Amino acid sequence: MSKLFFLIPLFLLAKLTAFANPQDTLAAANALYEKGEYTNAVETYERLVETGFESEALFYNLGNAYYKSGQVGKSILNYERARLLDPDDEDIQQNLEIAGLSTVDRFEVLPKPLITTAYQGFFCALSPSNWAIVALMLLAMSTVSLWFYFFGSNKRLAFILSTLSFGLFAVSLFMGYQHYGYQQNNQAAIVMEASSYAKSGPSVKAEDVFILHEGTKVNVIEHFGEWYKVRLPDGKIGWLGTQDLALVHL
Amino acid sequence: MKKRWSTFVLPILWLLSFSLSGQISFTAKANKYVVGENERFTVEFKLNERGSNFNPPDFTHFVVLSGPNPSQVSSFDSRRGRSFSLAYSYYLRPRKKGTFTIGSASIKAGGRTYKTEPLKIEVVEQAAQPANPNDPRALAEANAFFKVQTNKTTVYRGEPLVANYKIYFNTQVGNPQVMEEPDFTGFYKETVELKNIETRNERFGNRRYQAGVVRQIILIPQKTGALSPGEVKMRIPTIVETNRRDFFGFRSRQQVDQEQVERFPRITVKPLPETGRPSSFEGAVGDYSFDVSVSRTELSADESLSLKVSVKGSGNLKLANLPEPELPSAFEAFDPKYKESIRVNQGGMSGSKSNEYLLIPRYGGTYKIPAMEFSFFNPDTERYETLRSKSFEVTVEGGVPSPGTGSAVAAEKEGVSFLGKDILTIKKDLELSQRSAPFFGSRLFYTLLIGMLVLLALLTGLGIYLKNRKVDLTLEKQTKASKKARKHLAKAKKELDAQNIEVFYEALAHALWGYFGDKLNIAPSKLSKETIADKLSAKTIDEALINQATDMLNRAEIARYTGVTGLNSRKDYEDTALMITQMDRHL
Repeated sequence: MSKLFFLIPLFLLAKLTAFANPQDTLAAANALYEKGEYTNAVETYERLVETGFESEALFYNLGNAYYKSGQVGKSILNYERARLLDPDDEDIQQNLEIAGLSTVDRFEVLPKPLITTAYQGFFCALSPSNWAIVALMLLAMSTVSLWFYFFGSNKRLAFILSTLSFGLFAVSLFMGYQHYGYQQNNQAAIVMEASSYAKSGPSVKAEDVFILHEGTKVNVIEHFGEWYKVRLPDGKIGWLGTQDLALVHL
Repeated sequence: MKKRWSTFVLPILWLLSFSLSGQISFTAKANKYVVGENERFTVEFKLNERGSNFNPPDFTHFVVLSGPNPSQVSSFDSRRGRSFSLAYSYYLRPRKKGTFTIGSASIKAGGRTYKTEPLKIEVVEQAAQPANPNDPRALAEANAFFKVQTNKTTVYRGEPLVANYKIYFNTQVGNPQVMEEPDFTGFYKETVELKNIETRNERFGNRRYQAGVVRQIILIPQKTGALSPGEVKMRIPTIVETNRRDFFGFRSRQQVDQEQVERFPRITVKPLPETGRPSSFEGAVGDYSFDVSVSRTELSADESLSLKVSVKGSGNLKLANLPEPELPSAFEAFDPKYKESIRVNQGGMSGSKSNEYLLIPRYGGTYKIPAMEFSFFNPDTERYETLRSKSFEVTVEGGVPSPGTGSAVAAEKEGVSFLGKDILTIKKDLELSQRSAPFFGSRLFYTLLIGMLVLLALLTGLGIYLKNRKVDLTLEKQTKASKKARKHLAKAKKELDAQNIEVFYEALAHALWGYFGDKLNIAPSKLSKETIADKLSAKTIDEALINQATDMLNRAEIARYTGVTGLNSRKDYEDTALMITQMDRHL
């Protein structure tokens, strides 16, 4: 058993040495892109992604390489992944928009109630992990304040601080769960096939409901066997085979 | 056995002979069974009874020049009685050499359906001479006929070609009539209006004829490949002179309504070459000129401007699209006024078409109307040609300046449209990180959360426990205070008895300070007469008792430090004991 434990770090080391310097690989892929060898660039970028590396620039560049080699669906998927890491980057937004021009499906986006969007905007302001960090910091602050309440001199201030930060801790934790739940119920996914029929249920025999085309972004709201239940931006719901979709979140 | 056979068959034969004696027969007959390729022949289907529902066979290998021509004959014969016959005849022409079968025709007569035997016709090399030079049909055909001629047989897709239906005659003919024409699928067809048929002398073969174009059509092929449109059938009423002479010795004349069928020539349509095709090419084939003009280049905000895009030339003009100008959004453009004047003539189509745009400026400023391109394929040079118009700069004076003026004019109402439609280039930032599971929901997160909550709970518990313990200690002190005081008092009594007054007062003071310190929970550092008085009054103790207590403390102090003797020490002792007892009751 102890031998096995010894092996794990060795294995990790081997994995890392295969990519002695991922930065060099990234630079090499960028050079391939600039030479116009988009297919080779795609391969090199994809190797980095497979090895578990990520960065907003990596996904963005990969998206560009896919776009240039004519694979709009995969380019949109990678732009979306880049956007997850940096939601405010303007380059990503613009390229996503341009790639979106060559997709087939167009939707009338359903308006959401103003209150829902404001609330959503609030809990989506921080990622669940960041909410978790904020919550833990507030909890720590509450504990320290409590110490001062019991053993310090300014008991009143300490008490107010302690109660307040505990309350905020509870709110942050709740927001984190809200965001996490929202993410689970709204997993963005991109259609990968040139065209894909959505069914009325999770079965091949089910009735066809609508057709989606490559590059369209849908929300996965349920997972059942080999099927995803998806919601379109215009509110339509149908079931798509898992092989036709790629989840944005890795 | 033999007997049995005859009993069945004989009556059937007998019945059959009856039906045959009715003599209904339906037969097919041709006037020739061996036909020259250029010869005509007739086929007749004859029934010797009244019949209905005549169903002709398919003449797939022959051209039906006329037919079915029905004829009825009824006669009376003393020997055979009344007789009747019905015949349908066809006048046919072979399509090619070989042996062909004309299938059977069917007809209904007397409640039964009769069928003819199929006919076998052999088509051979053309016959040297028409079988009968006196046959009026043959004469008519020889003296008046028509041909379908096209000016080209190999064209590019979209290149117009002209087809003429031309009659040749050297006898009198009536007005020729086109009876049937192919539907020209795969072609765009336009008919040339011919006012009258102009004739002139022309040689065909080795004879002279009068020749005239009866019908002229312009065809523009829309698909590629070898296309055979089909056959044209024309009726030409022809006057022929027969060999018979009339009363005055002139040859008698006869009109033959001959119908002739000609195959439309096969046309090979080549695709337009892929190489060198300009991006602005939209299907125009021919030879064109292109012009863009504006009515003015300087105008004030309340005036208007007209932009004219026109194409002139010959070719498939009707199918050529006019290029659309890219207009700056600072102009309001209305739907263009379309004009065309296209003549269809012997050379194909020619003329001009134009779009005139009326532009009304919304804002002041200088705007560019970019140059436009018109491309066409010239089949003569077999090359694409691109014509470029001038670009114009239009200055609008006065008016509101355009929002976001500059070379790139921002649209006011539409969103900015991407011009190049190319993506931004890659990022050079080489930072990479290992993908990790999100912190929220991870084991570390739960451990920290639960750990810190437990810590908080423990801290709260500890705090509450410590506070309770402090309260307990004071209570204990309080209960023990009277006992301690009495102990000190007892000690003081001993000193009093021994007349050690100084020590007595010391003990007395000790008893009092100790008593109040413990009873009122005052730290030794803060112990003073004032604090004691304050605390006592806070506990709503009688003023007199408080005074007595402070008085007693004062006296003990004075006695201690001044060493005054002769004081009523015994009374002081008794008063103190009494006061402590009274205090105990209130505290």
